[in-house]
Amino acid sequence: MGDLKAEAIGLDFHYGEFQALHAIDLPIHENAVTALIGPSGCGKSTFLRCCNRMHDLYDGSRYGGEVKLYPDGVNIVGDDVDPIEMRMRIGMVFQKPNPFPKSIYDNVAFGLRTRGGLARSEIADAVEPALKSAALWDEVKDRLQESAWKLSGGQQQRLCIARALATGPELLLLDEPTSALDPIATAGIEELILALRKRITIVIVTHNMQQATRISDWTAFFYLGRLVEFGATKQLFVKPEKAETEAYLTGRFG
Amino acid sequence: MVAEAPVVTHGSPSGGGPRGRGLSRPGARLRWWSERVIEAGLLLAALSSIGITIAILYVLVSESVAFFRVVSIVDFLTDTMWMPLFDDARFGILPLLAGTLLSSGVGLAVAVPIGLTSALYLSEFAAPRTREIIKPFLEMLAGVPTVVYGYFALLFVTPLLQRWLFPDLPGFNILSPGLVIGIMIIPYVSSVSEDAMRAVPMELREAAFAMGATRVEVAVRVVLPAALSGVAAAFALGMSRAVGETMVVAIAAGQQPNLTLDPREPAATITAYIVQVALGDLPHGSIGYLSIFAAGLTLMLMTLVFNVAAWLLRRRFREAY
Ligand SMILES: Nc1ncnc2c1ncn2[C@@H]1O[C@H](COP(=O)(O)OP(=O)(O)O)[C@@H](O)[C@H]1O
Ligand SMILES: [Mg+2]
Repeated sequence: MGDLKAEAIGLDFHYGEFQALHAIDLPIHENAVTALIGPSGCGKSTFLRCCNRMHDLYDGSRYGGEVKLYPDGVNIVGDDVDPIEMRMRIGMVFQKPNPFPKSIYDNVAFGLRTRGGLARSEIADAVEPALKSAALWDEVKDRLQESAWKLSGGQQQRLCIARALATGPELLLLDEPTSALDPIATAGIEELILALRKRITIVIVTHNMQQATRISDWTAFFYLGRLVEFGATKQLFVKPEKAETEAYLTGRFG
Repeated sequence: MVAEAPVVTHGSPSGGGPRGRGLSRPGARLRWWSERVIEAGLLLAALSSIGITIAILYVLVSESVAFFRVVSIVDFLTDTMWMPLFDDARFGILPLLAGTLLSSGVGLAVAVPIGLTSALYLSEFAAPRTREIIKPFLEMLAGVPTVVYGYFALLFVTPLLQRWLFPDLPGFNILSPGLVIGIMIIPYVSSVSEDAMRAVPMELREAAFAMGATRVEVAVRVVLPAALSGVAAAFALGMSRAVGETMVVAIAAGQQPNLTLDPREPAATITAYIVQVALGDLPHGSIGYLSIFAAGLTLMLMTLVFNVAAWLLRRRFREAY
């Protein structure tokens, strides 16, 4: 199924003294959805946040190994790599919808303005397609200047996706994007991910295994900071190779 | 980030033994009573502030009523002269109001930019250790006695201004105490704004960082707007402090009521006038003496407006998250 968009090679991560990730080798296939599953605290978010150098914001974080971003093959977690440059190439959506206390329009425009050097008209031209890709345009097109905080939770989360898409990221990271939403809003987000997956590479953390089977092409099972098993979603869920994976999938722990 | 770990607990939490608490136990009645008494005492202490506020208002209003029997409210609000000691006395509050607003305005012009910048620095940039060093110094600014600030304005800032900026500046002027009031209220503006900034959830900052924003962009484009109502509350608090400031202006502004918009001129503020009369030898009950209550009431109403504004704004920013 296509080329690799990114690839973790022997990735280690430390929070201070505590090693949260151990030698992760994980391929991220291009224009496909990769789901990260595993019990709470196994390192899913930690892995995701390595991919856009989010850990750099906090003291005591230490990376080891590599996360290569293709086509150029730059090592995202390399010491000499500018984290801001990496974050500009990669989008992220968080567990809790976190729109800025600004208008809907300004939320979507935020990343473009951060890049600088864009004319007003260029920004305006990018806002509409981003909202359309996030399946939010019809609901907000008449109130782009209203505060984003007036939207419902599901709308806010789709706005966060639009905000991330506006800058045309090469890779989209989603950390349990539906865990704070009701079932209807969750279905909306899942539909959106399915619509996006042929156009953009997505890595999604989820604790909901049904969700992983519904929306992902590839699944990685993490346990205690290690990658236990990786494979095509269907195969991994139907015929897991490792005993731990099977135990988790059948609900025997986690 | 939520620190969650697959923790398995064995057994049950150990309790503190049997918890018999029968009402029949001797001493229970006594404890009930002593708790009621303590509670009543606490309530009394809490109510005392309300009582004192009401008492102050009562004095101000009743004496002001006596004043306004002689001087009409219209004259009080529109007359452009405040000359309480002349035979043909005039009681227009405007000159005092102008002096008050001018000195507070100068003060805010100093305190807002500096207070806000230091709040942004402390909340968004300073390492915890730097913060621990800087904060006590900031707070110390608020602890310096105002008399000291007054003489600082008169004997240091005014000569400095005369030497470097305005050679013709009179020895008494509004500008110099205004600047010093500004320094004095920096800690109020900065600590209230900093609280508002620190209350901005980390998720908002992370969202901006994740888009490739720099620290300055996050501070200016995300944290500041998100903390805006708290910052506005800080301004209102600073303003109410500045308006009520007495000693600095009494010492360094000259005590001449002067309807002017030029801060380089000497002028009196409402507060400076009140101390001047209260410490002077006007006979109690005279109209000049009563005038300080009318002036005091005006001041209290102004301060009230700023405090209510601050309170409303702060409530709004608490509700935001
Ligand atoms: N900021 C942090 N400091 C120290 N340890 C952390 C921090 N964040 C997470 N951890 C630890 O790292 C491990 C992995 O956490 P995380 O990646 O958040 O798990 P998941 O997202 O799979 O639930 C957990 O044991 C957690 O306690
Ligand atoms: Mg997580």
